[in-house]
Amino acid sequence: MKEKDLLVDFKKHQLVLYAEKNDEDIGPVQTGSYMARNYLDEFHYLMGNLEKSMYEKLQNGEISPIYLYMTLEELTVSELAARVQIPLRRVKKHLTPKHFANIHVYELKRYADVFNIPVANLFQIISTRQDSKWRMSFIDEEEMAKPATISQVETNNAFVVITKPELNKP
Amino acid sequence: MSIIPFNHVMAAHCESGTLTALLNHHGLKISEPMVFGISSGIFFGYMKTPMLAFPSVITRIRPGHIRKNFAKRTGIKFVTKKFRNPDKAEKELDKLLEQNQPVAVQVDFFYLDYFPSWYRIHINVHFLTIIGKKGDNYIVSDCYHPQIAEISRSALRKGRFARGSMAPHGFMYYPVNVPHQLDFNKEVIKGIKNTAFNMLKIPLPFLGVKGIRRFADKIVEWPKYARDTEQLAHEIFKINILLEDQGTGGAGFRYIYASFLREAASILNKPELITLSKRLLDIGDGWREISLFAARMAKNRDLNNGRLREMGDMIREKADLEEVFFKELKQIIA
Repeated sequence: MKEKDLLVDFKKHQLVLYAEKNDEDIGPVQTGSYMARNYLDEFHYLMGNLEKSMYEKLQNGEISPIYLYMTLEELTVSELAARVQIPLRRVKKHLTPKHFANIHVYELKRYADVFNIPVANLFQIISTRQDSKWRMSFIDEEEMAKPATISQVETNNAFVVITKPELNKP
Repeated sequence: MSIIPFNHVMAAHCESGTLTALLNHHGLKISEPMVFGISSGIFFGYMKTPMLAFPSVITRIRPGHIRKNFAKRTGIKFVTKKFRNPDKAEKELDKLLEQNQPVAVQVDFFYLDYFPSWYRIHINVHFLTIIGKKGDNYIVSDCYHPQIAEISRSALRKGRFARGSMAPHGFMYYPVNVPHQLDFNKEVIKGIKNTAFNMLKIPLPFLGVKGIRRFADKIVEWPKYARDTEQLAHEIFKINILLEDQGTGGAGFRYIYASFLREAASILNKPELITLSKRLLDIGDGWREISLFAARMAKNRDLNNGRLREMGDMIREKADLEEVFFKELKQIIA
Protein backbone atom coordinates (compact mmCIF):
# COMPACT_ATOMS: atom_id res chain seq x y z
CA MET A 1 0.00 0.00 0.00
CA LYS A 2 1.25 3.48 -0.83
CA GLU A 3 1.90 6.03 1.89
CA LYS A 4 -0.68 8.47 0.52
CA ASP A 5 -3.37 5.75 0.66
CA LEU A 6 -2.72 5.06 4.35
CA LEU A 7 -2.72 8.59 5.73
CA VAL A 8 -5.75 9.38 7.88
CA ASP A 9 -6.40 12.63 9.71
CA PHE A 10 -7.35 11.56 13.25
CA LYS A 11 -5.33 12.97 16.12
CA LYS A 12 -7.15 11.08 18.91
CA HIS A 13 -5.57 7.78 17.89
CA GLN A 14 -2.20 7.76 16.14
CA LEU A 15 -0.24 4.72 15.06
CA VAL A 16 2.64 3.68 12.83
CA LEU A 17 2.06 1.65 9.67
CA TYR A 18 4.55 0.54 7.04
CA ALA A 19 3.95 1.64 3.46
CA GLU A 20 5.60 2.18 0.11
CA LYS A 21 7.12 5.64 0.09
CA ASN A 22 7.45 7.82 -2.98
CA ASP A 23 10.84 6.40 -3.87
CA GLU A 24 9.43 2.83 -3.75
CA ASP A 25 11.16 2.17 -0.48
CA ILE A 26 9.06 0.81 2.42
CA GLY A 27 9.12 2.78 5.61
CA PRO A 28 7.18 3.84 8.70
CA VAL A 29 4.28 6.26 8.38
CA GLN A 30 2.68 7.92 11.38
CA THR A 31 -1.01 8.29 10.73
CA GLY A 32 -4.37 8.49 12.40
CA SER A 33 -6.20 5.23 12.78
CA TYR A 34 -8.65 4.53 9.96
CA MET A 35 -10.62 2.19 12.20
CA ALA A 36 -10.91 4.69 15.03
CA ARG A 37 -11.87 7.58 12.75
CA ASN A 38 -14.60 5.64 10.97
CA TYR A 39 -15.83 3.20 13.58
CA LEU A 40 -15.11 4.61 17.03
CA ASP A 41 -18.70 5.90 17.25
CA GLU A 42 -19.95 2.39 16.51
CA PHE A 43 -17.67 0.95 19.17
CA HIS A 44 -18.98 3.47 21.69
CA TYR A 45 -22.55 2.63 20.66
CA LEU A 46 -22.02 -1.12 21.14
CA MET A 47 -20.20 -0.80 24.44
CA GLY A 48 -22.62 1.88 25.64
CA ASN A 49 -25.56 -0.46 24.99
CA LEU A 50 -23.78 -3.25 26.79
CA GLU A 51 -23.08 -0.95 29.72
CA LYS A 52 -26.72 0.19 29.92
CA SER A 53 -28.05 -3.34 29.84
CA MET A 54 -25.55 -4.49 32.46
CA TYR A 55 -26.44 -1.62 34.81
CA GLU A 56 -30.15 -2.43 34.41
CA LYS A 57 -29.52 -6.06 35.28
CA LEU A 58 -27.42 -4.96 38.24
CA GLN A 59 -30.18 -2.73 39.58
CA ASN A 60 -32.76 -5.48 39.07
CA GLY A 61 -30.67 -7.85 41.12
CA GLU A 62 -29.99 -10.21 38.20
CA ILE A 63 -26.20 -9.92 38.28
CA SER A 64 -23.54 -8.90 40.76
CA PRO A 65 -21.14 -5.95 40.33
CA ILE A 66 -18.38 -8.51 39.72
CA TYR A 67 -20.26 -9.85 36.70
CA LEU A 68 -20.83 -6.30 35.44
CA TYR A 69 -17.20 -5.23 35.49
CA MET A 70 -15.96 -8.59 34.26
CA THR A 71 -18.22 -8.27 31.22
CA LEU A 72 -17.42 -4.62 30.53
CA GLU A 73 -13.69 -5.28 30.77
CA GLU A 74 -14.02 -8.38 28.54
CA LEU A 75 -12.48 -10.82 30.95
CA THR A 76 -13.43 -14.50 31.09
CA VAL A 77 -14.21 -16.04 34.46
CA SER A 78 -10.99 -18.09 34.25
CA GLU A 79 -8.88 -15.02 33.49
CA LEU A 80 -10.56 -13.03 36.26
CA ALA A 81 -9.95 -15.83 38.76
CA ALA A 82 -6.28 -15.94 37.76
CA ARG A 83 -5.98 -12.18 38.14
CA VAL A 84 -7.66 -11.88 41.52
CA GLN A 85 -6.07 -15.10 42.82
CA ILE A 86 -9.40 -16.43 44.09
CA PRO A 87 -10.43 -20.01 43.26
CA LEU A 88 -12.49 -20.28 40.06
CA ARG A 89 -15.40 -21.97 41.84
CA ARG A 90 -15.65 -19.06 44.26
CA VAL A 91 -15.37 -16.41 41.54
CA LYS A 92 -18.27 -18.09 39.69
CA LYS A 93 -20.35 -17.76 42.84
CA HIS A 94 -19.45 -14.09 43.19
CA LEU A 95 -21.03 -13.44 39.80
CA THR A 96 -24.46 -13.95 41.37
CA PRO A 97 -26.12 -11.45 43.76
CA LYS A 98 -26.83 -14.23 46.29
CA HIS A 99 -23.19 -15.17 46.79
CA PHE A 100 -21.85 -11.66 46.30
CA ALA A 101 -23.54 -10.96 49.63
CA ASN A 102 -21.08 -13.34 51.30
CA ILE A 103 -17.96 -11.85 49.80
CA HIS A 104 -15.03 -10.97 52.04
CA VAL A 105 -13.70 -7.43 52.14
CA TYR A 106 -10.22 -8.54 51.06
CA GLU A 107 -11.80 -10.21 48.01
CA LEU A 108 -13.60 -6.98 47.16
CA LYS A 109 -10.26 -5.19 47.20
CA ARG A 110 -8.71 -7.73 44.85
CA TYR A 111 -11.58 -7.37 42.39
CA ALA A 112 -11.47 -3.59 42.64
CA ASP A 113 -7.73 -3.54 41.93
CA VAL A 114 -8.13 -5.70 38.83
CA PHE A 115 -11.07 -3.63 37.58
CA ASN A 116 -9.14 -0.47 38.46
CA ILE A 117 -11.98 1.05 40.47
CA PRO A 118 -12.34 2.14 44.12
CA VAL A 119 -13.91 -0.57 46.29
CA ALA A 120 -16.81 1.83 46.86
CA ASN A 121 -17.76 1.56 43.17
CA LEU A 122 -18.78 -2.05 43.71
CA PHE A 123 -21.67 -0.69 45.80
CA GLN A 124 -22.81 2.29 43.81
CA ILE A 125 -23.63 3.46 40.33
CA ILE A 126 -22.29 6.90 39.61
CA SER A 127 -24.69 8.43 37.15
CA THR A 128 -22.80 11.62 36.48
CA ARG A 129 -19.35 11.91 35.02
CA GLN A 130 -16.40 10.35 36.85
CA ASP A 131 -12.81 11.34 36.47
CA SER A 132 -11.26 9.15 33.80
CA LYS A 133 -8.73 7.77 36.27
CA TRP A 134 -11.25 5.18 37.43
CA ARG A 135 -13.86 4.52 34.84
CA MET A 136 -13.90 3.27 31.33
CA SER A 137 -16.10 5.96 29.89
CA PHE A 138 -17.46 4.54 26.71
CA ILE A 139 -19.15 7.58 25.29
CA ASP A 140 -16.77 10.46 25.90
CA GLU A 141 -18.93 13.23 24.45
CA GLU A 142 -21.89 12.27 26.64
CA GLU A 143 -19.68 12.16 29.69
CA MET A 144 -18.15 15.55 28.94
CA ALA A 145 -21.59 17.10 28.62
CA LYS A 146 -22.65 16.14 32.15
CA PRO A 147 -22.72 19.09 34.54
CA ALA A 148 -20.81 17.54 37.41
CA THR A 149 -17.86 15.23 37.87
CA ILE A 150 -17.35 12.86 40.73
CA SER A 151 -13.69 12.63 41.51
CA GLN A 152 -12.39 9.97 43.84
CA VAL A 153 -8.99 10.50 45.38
CA GLU A 154 -6.95 7.64 46.77
CA THR A 155 -5.87 7.79 50.39
CA ASN A 156 -3.28 5.84 52.31
CA ASN A 157 -6.10 3.50 53.34
CA ALA A 158 -6.44 1.06 50.45
CA PHE A 159 -10.20 0.68 51.04
CA VAL A 160 -11.07 4.36 51.27
CA VAL A 161 -11.30 7.15 48.69
CA ILE A 162 -12.31 10.78 49.18
CA THR A 163 -15.32 11.40 46.96
CA LYS A 164 -15.74 14.96 45.75
CA PRO A 165 -18.44 16.27 43.45
CA GLU A 166 -17.22 19.12 41.30
CA LEU A 167 -19.14 21.31 38.93
CA ASN A 168 -17.74 21.17 35.41
CA LYS A 169 -16.73 24.46 33.93
CA PRO A 170 -18.92 25.28 30.87
CA MET B 1 15.39 12.37 39.90
CA SER B 2 15.58 13.58 36.31
CA ILE B 3 14.75 12.40 32.83
CA ILE B 4 17.33 10.48 30.82
CA PRO B 5 17.84 12.04 27.38
CA PHE B 6 16.07 9.53 25.13
CA ASN B 7 14.97 9.75 21.52
CA HIS B 8 11.26 9.01 21.73
CA VAL B 9 9.65 7.79 18.50
CA MET B 10 6.43 5.99 17.75
CA ALA B 11 6.86 2.48 16.40
CA ALA B 12 4.72 -0.13 14.72
CA HIS B 13 4.82 -2.69 17.53
CA CYS B 14 5.57 -2.37 21.23
CA GLU B 15 8.01 -5.25 21.69
CA SER B 16 10.08 -4.63 18.57
CA GLY B 17 9.72 -0.85 18.92
CA THR B 18 10.89 -0.80 22.53
CA LEU B 19 13.81 -3.09 21.76
CA THR B 20 14.81 -1.01 18.73
CA ALA B 21 14.67 2.22 20.72
CA LEU B 22 16.89 0.80 23.46
CA LEU B 23 19.43 -0.55 20.97
CA ASN B 24 19.49 2.81 19.17
CA HIS B 25 19.95 4.55 22.53
CA HIS B 26 23.01 2.37 23.14
CA GLY B 27 24.47 3.31 19.78
CA LEU B 28 23.48 0.44 17.49
CA LYS B 29 21.87 1.76 14.34
CA ILE B 30 19.13 -0.70 13.51
CA SER B 31 15.58 -0.38 12.22
CA GLU B 32 12.44 -1.86 13.72
CA PRO B 33 11.80 -4.06 10.65
CA MET B 34 15.32 -5.48 10.98
CA VAL B 35 14.79 -6.28 14.67
CA PHE B 36 11.41 -7.82 13.81
CA GLY B 37 12.78 -9.87 10.94
CA ILE B 38 15.89 -11.17 12.71
CA SER B 39 13.60 -12.25 15.57
CA SER B 40 11.24 -14.08 13.17
CA GLY B 41 8.41 -11.93 14.50
CA ILE B 42 5.83 -12.68 11.81
CA PHE B 43 3.47 -15.56 12.48
CA PHE B 44 -0.16 -16.63 12.54
CA GLY B 45 -2.28 -18.48 15.05
CA TYR B 46 -5.99 -19.10 15.55
CA MET B 47 -6.63 -19.15 19.29
CA LYS B 48 -9.57 -20.44 21.26
CA THR B 49 -8.93 -20.99 24.99
CA PRO B 50 -10.88 -20.56 28.26
CA MET B 51 -8.75 -17.49 28.99
CA LEU B 52 -10.12 -15.71 25.94
CA ALA B 53 -13.68 -14.41 25.91
CA PHE B 54 -13.94 -15.21 22.19
CA PRO B 55 -11.81 -16.91 19.52
CA SER B 56 -9.00 -14.68 18.38
CA VAL B 57 -6.04 -14.51 16.02
CA ILE B 58 -2.39 -13.72 16.61
CA THR B 59 -0.14 -12.53 13.84
CA ARG B 60 3.23 -12.51 15.64
CA ILE B 61 5.28 -14.95 17.68
CA ARG B 62 4.87 -15.45 21.40
CA PRO B 63 5.37 -12.21 23.39
CA GLY B 64 8.85 -11.94 24.81
CA HIS B 65 10.35 -14.02 22.02
CA ILE B 66 11.23 -11.08 19.81
CA ARG B 67 13.82 -10.01 22.39
CA LYS B 68 14.87 -13.61 23.17
CA ASN B 69 15.36 -14.54 19.53
CA PHE B 70 17.18 -11.30 18.80
CA ALA B 71 19.53 -11.84 21.74
CA LYS B 72 20.18 -15.47 20.78
CA ARG B 73 20.93 -14.68 17.14
CA THR B 74 23.00 -11.52 17.59
CA GLY B 75 24.79 -12.43 20.83
CA ILE B 76 23.83 -9.08 22.37
CA LYS B 77 23.38 -9.54 26.11
CA PHE B 78 20.39 -8.32 28.04
CA VAL B 79 20.00 -8.05 31.77
CA THR B 80 16.55 -9.45 32.51
CA LYS B 81 14.81 -9.57 35.86
CA LYS B 82 11.52 -10.71 37.32
CA PHE B 83 10.30 -9.97 40.82
CA ARG B 84 7.89 -11.44 43.36
CA ASN B 85 7.96 -8.28 45.44
CA PRO B 86 6.68 -5.00 43.89
CA ASP B 87 8.72 -2.93 46.35
CA LYS B 88 11.96 -4.62 45.29
CA ALA B 89 11.00 -4.20 41.62
CA GLU B 90 10.46 -0.50 42.15
CA LYS B 91 13.69 -0.09 44.08
CA GLU B 92 15.65 -1.79 41.31
CA LEU B 93 13.96 0.38 38.67
CA ASP B 94 14.77 3.56 40.60
CA LYS B 95 18.39 2.46 41.04
CA LEU B 96 18.79 1.90 37.29
CA LEU B 97 17.19 5.24 36.45
CA GLU B 98 19.60 6.96 38.81
CA GLN B 99 22.40 5.28 36.86
CA ASN B 100 20.94 6.86 33.69
CA GLN B 101 19.88 3.46 32.40
CA PRO B 102 16.56 3.46 30.54
CA VAL B 103 14.69 0.25 31.32
CA ALA B 104 12.09 -1.69 29.35
CA VAL B 105 9.23 -3.08 31.43
CA GLN B 106 6.35 -5.40 30.66
CA VAL B 107 2.90 -4.22 31.77
CA ASP B 108 -0.82 -4.81 31.49
CA PHE B 109 -1.97 -2.19 28.96
CA PHE B 110 -5.18 -1.57 30.93
CA TYR B 111 -3.49 0.53 33.62
CA LEU B 112 -1.76 2.97 31.27
CA ASP B 113 -3.94 5.99 31.99
CA TYR B 114 -2.11 8.27 29.55
CA PHE B 115 -4.18 6.52 26.88
CA PRO B 116 -7.91 7.26 26.51
CA SER B 117 -10.09 4.83 28.45
CA TRP B 118 -11.77 3.35 25.36
CA TYR B 119 -8.35 2.29 24.03
CA ARG B 120 -7.28 0.32 27.09
CA ILE B 121 -7.78 -3.43 27.37
CA HIS B 122 -6.46 -6.11 29.66
CA ILE B 123 -3.42 -7.49 27.89
CA ASN B 124 -0.39 -8.37 29.94
CA VAL B 125 2.19 -8.17 27.17
CA HIS B 126 2.75 -4.52 26.47
CA PHE B 127 6.31 -3.21 26.57
CA LEU B 128 7.46 0.34 27.23
CA THR B 129 10.59 2.15 28.35
CA ILE B 130 10.93 4.00 31.62
CA ILE B 131 13.27 6.95 31.16
CA GLY B 132 12.93 8.95 34.35
CA LYS B 133 11.05 9.86 37.46
CA LYS B 134 9.44 13.11 38.54
CA GLY B 135 8.12 13.09 42.09
CA ASP B 136 5.71 10.18 42.34
CA ASN B 137 5.36 9.77 38.57
CA TYR B 138 7.48 7.81 36.14
CA ILE B 139 8.39 9.21 32.75
CA VAL B 140 7.57 6.83 29.94
CA SER B 141 8.61 6.42 26.34
CA ASP B 142 5.76 4.31 24.99
CA CYS B 143 6.06 3.70 21.27
CA TYR B 144 2.25 3.67 20.92
CA HIS B 145 2.02 7.22 22.30
CA PRO B 146 2.93 10.26 20.20
CA GLN B 147 4.78 11.99 23.03
CA ILE B 148 6.69 11.08 26.15
CA ALA B 149 4.12 10.38 28.87
CA GLU B 150 3.83 10.19 32.64
CA ILE B 151 2.36 7.42 34.76
CA SER B 152 1.78 7.38 38.48
CA ARG B 153 3.74 5.05 40.69
CA SER B 154 0.57 3.17 41.70
CA ALA B 155 -0.64 2.69 38.10
CA LEU B 156 2.76 1.43 36.99
CA ARG B 157 2.87 -0.95 39.92
CA LYS B 158 -0.57 -2.34 39.03
CA GLY B 159 0.49 -2.75 35.41
CA ARG B 160 3.78 -4.45 36.24
CA PHE B 161 2.21 -6.86 38.71
CA ALA B 162 -1.10 -7.70 37.09
CA ARG B 163 -1.82 -11.43 37.29
CA GLY B 164 -3.50 -13.72 34.77
CA SER B 165 -2.33 -14.94 31.36
CA MET B 166 1.29 -14.11 30.57
CA ALA B 167 1.55 -12.09 33.78
CA PRO B 168 4.52 -9.67 33.76
CA HIS B 169 5.81 -10.50 37.29
CA GLY B 170 7.60 -7.16 37.25
CA PHE B 171 9.66 -8.16 34.20
CA MET B 172 12.26 -5.63 33.12
CA TYR B 173 15.28 -5.65 30.84
CA TYR B 174 18.00 -3.53 29.33
CA PRO B 175 20.85 -4.33 26.95
CA VAL B 176 24.52 -4.29 27.93
CA ASN B 177 27.72 -4.07 25.84
CA VAL B 178 25.86 -3.22 22.66
CA PRO B 179 28.19 -3.03 19.64
CA HIS B 180 27.83 0.07 17.47
CA GLN B 181 27.90 -2.04 14.37
CA LEU B 182 26.85 -5.53 13.45
CA ASP B 183 27.13 -7.60 10.32
CA PHE B 184 23.55 -8.87 10.09
CA ASN B 185 24.18 -11.43 7.39
CA LYS B 186 23.97 -14.61 9.50
CA GLU B 187 21.25 -13.23 11.76
CA VAL B 188 19.00 -12.32 8.83
CA ILE B 189 19.37 -15.79 7.33
CA LYS B 190 18.57 -17.48 10.65
CA GLY B 191 15.60 -15.19 11.13
CA ILE B 192 14.15 -15.96 7.71
CA LYS B 193 14.72 -19.72 8.03
CA ASN B 194 12.98 -19.78 11.39
CA THR B 195 10.08 -17.72 10.02
CA ALA B 196 9.59 -20.13 7.13
CA PHE B 197 9.63 -23.04 9.55
CA ASN B 198 7.10 -21.38 11.86
CA MET B 199 4.69 -20.63 9.04
CA LEU B 200 5.03 -23.96 7.21
CA LYS B 201 6.21 -26.74 9.48
CA ILE B 202 4.81 -26.52 13.00
CA PRO B 203 2.63 -29.66 13.29
CA LEU B 204 -0.32 -28.01 15.01
CA PRO B 205 -3.51 -27.28 13.08
CA PHE B 206 -4.04 -23.77 14.49
CA LEU B 207 -0.57 -22.34 13.85
CA GLY B 208 1.13 -20.96 10.76
CA VAL B 209 -0.53 -21.37 7.37
CA LYS B 210 -2.64 -24.15 8.88
CA GLY B 211 -3.81 -21.57 11.44
CA ILE B 212 -4.95 -19.24 8.66
CA ARG B 213 -6.97 -22.10 7.14
CA ARG B 214 -8.46 -22.93 10.53
CA PHE B 215 -9.50 -19.28 10.93
CA ALA B 216 -11.12 -19.47 7.47
CA ASP B 217 -13.01 -22.62 8.46
CA LYS B 218 -14.05 -21.54 11.94
CA ILE B 219 -15.26 -18.00 11.32
CA VAL B 220 -18.67 -19.38 10.27
CA GLU B 221 -19.04 -20.84 13.78
CA TRP B 222 -18.56 -17.51 15.55
CA PRO B 223 -22.30 -16.77 15.93
CA LYS B 224 -22.66 -19.69 18.36
CA TYR B 225 -20.11 -18.13 20.75
CA ALA B 226 -21.84 -14.73 20.88
CA ARG B 227 -24.59 -13.93 23.36
CA ASP B 228 -26.33 -11.70 20.79
CA THR B 229 -25.87 -9.93 17.46
CA GLU B 230 -24.24 -6.94 19.10
CA GLN B 231 -21.52 -9.02 20.71
CA LEU B 232 -20.90 -10.81 17.40
CA ALA B 233 -20.63 -7.43 15.65
CA HIS B 234 -18.15 -6.28 18.30
CA GLU B 235 -16.02 -9.40 17.84
CA ILE B 236 -16.07 -9.13 14.04
CA PHE B 237 -14.93 -5.48 14.42
CA LYS B 238 -12.02 -6.77 16.43
CA ILE B 239 -10.68 -8.61 13.39
CA ASN B 240 -9.89 -5.20 11.95
CA ILE B 241 -8.37 -4.03 15.22
CA LEU B 242 -6.21 -7.16 15.57
CA LEU B 243 -4.93 -6.89 12.00
CA GLU B 244 -4.54 -3.13 11.68
CA ASP B 245 -4.88 -1.21 14.88
CA GLN B 246 -3.29 -3.05 17.74
CA GLY B 247 0.33 -2.37 16.86
CA THR B 248 1.05 -4.50 13.79
CA GLY B 249 2.40 -1.92 11.36
CA GLY B 250 -0.59 -2.77 9.17
CA ALA B 251 -1.97 -5.98 7.63
CA GLY B 252 -1.07 -8.21 10.58
CA PHE B 253 2.68 -7.44 10.44
CA ARG B 254 2.86 -8.28 6.73
CA TYR B 255 3.87 -4.72 5.78
CA ILE B 256 6.67 -4.45 8.33
CA TYR B 257 8.00 -7.87 7.30
CA ALA B 258 7.97 -6.71 3.66
CA SER B 259 10.11 -3.78 4.79
CA PHE B 260 12.51 -6.21 6.49
CA LEU B 261 12.81 -8.27 3.27
CA ARG B 262 13.69 -5.08 1.39
CA GLU B 263 16.57 -4.46 3.81
CA ALA B 264 17.52 -8.15 3.78
CA ALA B 265 17.83 -8.05 -0.03
CA SER B 266 20.53 -5.45 0.29
CA ILE B 267 22.36 -7.16 3.17
CA LEU B 268 22.37 -10.60 1.53
CA ASN B 269 22.75 -9.26 -2.00
CA LYS B 270 19.65 -11.18 -3.10
CA PRO B 271 17.46 -9.00 -5.34
CA GLU B 272 14.89 -11.83 -5.42
CA LEU B 273 13.93 -10.72 -1.93
CA ILE B 274 12.79 -7.38 -3.31
CA THR B 275 10.34 -9.22 -5.55
CA LEU B 276 9.11 -11.23 -2.56
CA SER B 277 8.85 -8.05 -0.56
CA LYS B 278 6.48 -6.60 -3.20
CA ARG B 279 4.45 -9.84 -3.18
CA LEU B 280 4.11 -9.64 0.57
CA LEU B 281 2.88 -6.06 0.28
CA ASP B 282 0.17 -7.34 -2.08
CA ILE B 283 -0.71 -10.15 0.34
CA GLY B 284 -0.87 -7.52 3.07
CA ASP B 285 -3.24 -5.44 0.95
CA GLY B 286 -5.44 -8.54 0.78
CA TRP B 287 -5.45 -8.81 4.58
CA ARG B 288 -6.34 -5.14 4.76
CA GLU B 289 -9.32 -5.79 2.48
CA ILE B 290 -10.42 -8.54 4.85
CA SER B 291 -10.21 -6.22 7.84
CA LEU B 292 -12.20 -3.51 6.05
CA PHE B 293 -14.75 -6.13 4.97
CA ALA B 294 -15.07 -7.22 8.60
CA ALA B 295 -15.59 -3.64 9.77
CA ARG B 296 -18.32 -3.03 7.17
CA MET B 297 -20.05 -6.32 8.00
CA ALA B 298 -20.09 -5.46 11.67
CA LYS B 299 -21.24 -1.88 11.17
CA ASN B 300 -24.14 -2.98 8.94
CA ARG B 301 -24.90 -6.00 11.16
CA ASP B 302 -24.59 -8.05 7.99
CA LEU B 303 -23.49 -11.15 9.87
CA ASN B 304 -25.39 -13.99 8.24
CA ASN B 305 -23.85 -17.33 7.36
CA GLY B 306 -23.35 -16.30 3.73
CA ARG B 307 -21.27 -13.25 4.67
CA LEU B 308 -19.19 -15.24 7.12
CA ARG B 309 -18.52 -17.84 4.43
CA GLU B 310 -17.49 -15.07 2.08
CA MET B 311 -15.00 -13.80 4.64
CA GLY B 312 -13.82 -17.37 5.20
CA ASP B 313 -13.12 -17.69 1.48
CA MET B 314 -11.13 -14.46 1.48
CA ILE B 315 -9.07 -15.72 4.43
CA ARG B 316 -8.52 -19.12 2.80
CA GLU B 317 -7.14 -17.39 -0.26
CA LYS B 318 -4.57 -15.65 1.97
CA ALA B 319 -3.54 -19.03 3.37
CA ASP B 320 -2.86 -20.32 -0.15
CA LEU B 321 -0.88 -17.22 -1.10
CA GLU B 322 1.18 -17.29 2.09
CA GLU B 323 1.95 -20.97 1.74
CA VAL B 324 3.43 -20.37 -1.71
CA PHE B 325 5.18 -17.22 -0.49
CA PHE B 326 6.93 -18.79 2.49
CA LYS B 327 7.96 -21.83 0.46
CA GLU B 328 9.63 -19.55 -2.06
CA LEU B 329 11.23 -17.51 0.72
CA LYS B 330 12.66 -20.69 2.22
CA GLN B 331 14.10 -21.73 -1.16
CA ILE B 332 15.77 -18.40 -1.77
CA ILE B 333 17.56 -18.54 1.59
CA ALA B 334 18.45 -22.23 1.48
